[in-house]
Amino acid sequence: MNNDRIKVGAVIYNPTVTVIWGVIADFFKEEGLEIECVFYKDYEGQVDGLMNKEIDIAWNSPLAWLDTYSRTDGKCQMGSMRDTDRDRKTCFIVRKDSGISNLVELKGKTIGFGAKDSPQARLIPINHLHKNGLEYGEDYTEKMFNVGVGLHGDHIGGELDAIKALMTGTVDAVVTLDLNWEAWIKDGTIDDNQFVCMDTTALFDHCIFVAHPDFSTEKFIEWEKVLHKMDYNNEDHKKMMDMEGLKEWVEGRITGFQQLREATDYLKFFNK
Amino acid sequence: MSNKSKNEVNTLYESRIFDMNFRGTSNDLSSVKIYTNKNSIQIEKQLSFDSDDEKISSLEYFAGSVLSSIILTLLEQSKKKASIIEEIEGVLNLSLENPLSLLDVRGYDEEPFIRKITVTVYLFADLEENDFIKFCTEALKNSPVYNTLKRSMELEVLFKKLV
Repeated sequence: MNNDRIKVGAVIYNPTVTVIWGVIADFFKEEGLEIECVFYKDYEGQVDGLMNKEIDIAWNSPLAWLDTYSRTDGKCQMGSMRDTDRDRKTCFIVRKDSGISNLVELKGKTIGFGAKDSPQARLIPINHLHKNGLEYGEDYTEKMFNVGVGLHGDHIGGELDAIKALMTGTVDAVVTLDLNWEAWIKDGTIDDNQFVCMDTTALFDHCIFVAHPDFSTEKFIEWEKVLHKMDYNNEDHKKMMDMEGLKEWVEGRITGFQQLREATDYLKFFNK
Repeated sequence: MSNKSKNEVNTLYESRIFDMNFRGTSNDLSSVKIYTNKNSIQIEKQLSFDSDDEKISSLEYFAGSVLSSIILTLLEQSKKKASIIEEIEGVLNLSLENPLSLLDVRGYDEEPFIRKITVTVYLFADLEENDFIKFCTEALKNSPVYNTLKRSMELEVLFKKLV
């Protein structure tokens, strides 16, 4: 085995996702910069792997980025993200005939959230409610739909179960990522004649590549340059990019994680 | 022939057991070539998760073997009964448990195995419902693949009559 290969970590819950990483690995090989993909069951394991230098670079969820940032005292290196990772928002969905037209009216109601560790479907919206005067554990009842805990909301199941609960009337409102809301309207999962997005969070960012503080910055920049050569017009790349949900890799930024930082502080998420 | 000699004939190994041998080689230490009597098949992967992969994997050959054995046994028995089957089609659903162990995903270490196979066979045959079920059930008894697997795993075969 060539030990010069850059080790890149990814969390995998569906075997077909490894195909994406196979395409990425082949692409890097063609570009003369070999990578070795290392797969993890959950983000906690992946962050541990990065800290232990099992891997050089991790494809992190926003919460895993924050965990890494915290565990490296802010010294971890920030990489690229997908174009679709930027400027996301969470939608607050209610029945049109519920009489709920703003966040304040959610007081005393039951809100359906995604998995416990989902930035978009629990942590950030809880912080949004807090900013709008609704306190966690006091002003509303939380109903979590814990599908794929450890995957930081990567799995759509929790949000989907929450939407189904809204349809059956067991919750008064649900939160879901804007992309899911749009997709479910499009594919008929939800009828937008009956349900409405009555509020959204501010914009935030999602996944990001993160390198260990000790990983050569020069090599990381070289790796990033190759990554950005991926071209949606190239049929081979397109397949992978469609599966991963992007049209281009863009520069990473951490400003889009501010709401998540506030949320984890508010909920004392990492202290539990 | 005396009773003794009859028993001797019946206990002959060859009359009870048909042995088959297969040879597998790997010259490139990557793929495997399996030799049958007059032919060979090249297999590169136990299983592929890439829907665009055109090469047949070990698991696909296995599933194909199960489904073909069940359909063929029905056709063979049909021919013995004046070809009562006019149309036939089958669908096999296979559930592989612990697939991520195959991919070395850290945190998954349980053995991958086939949890369940369900085969649904759709037949157009000019038989009444009771005779239809009886025919299919009896025919299934002549599938060595089915008879073997039913002893070792969850294997369900459903017959649907087309009208």
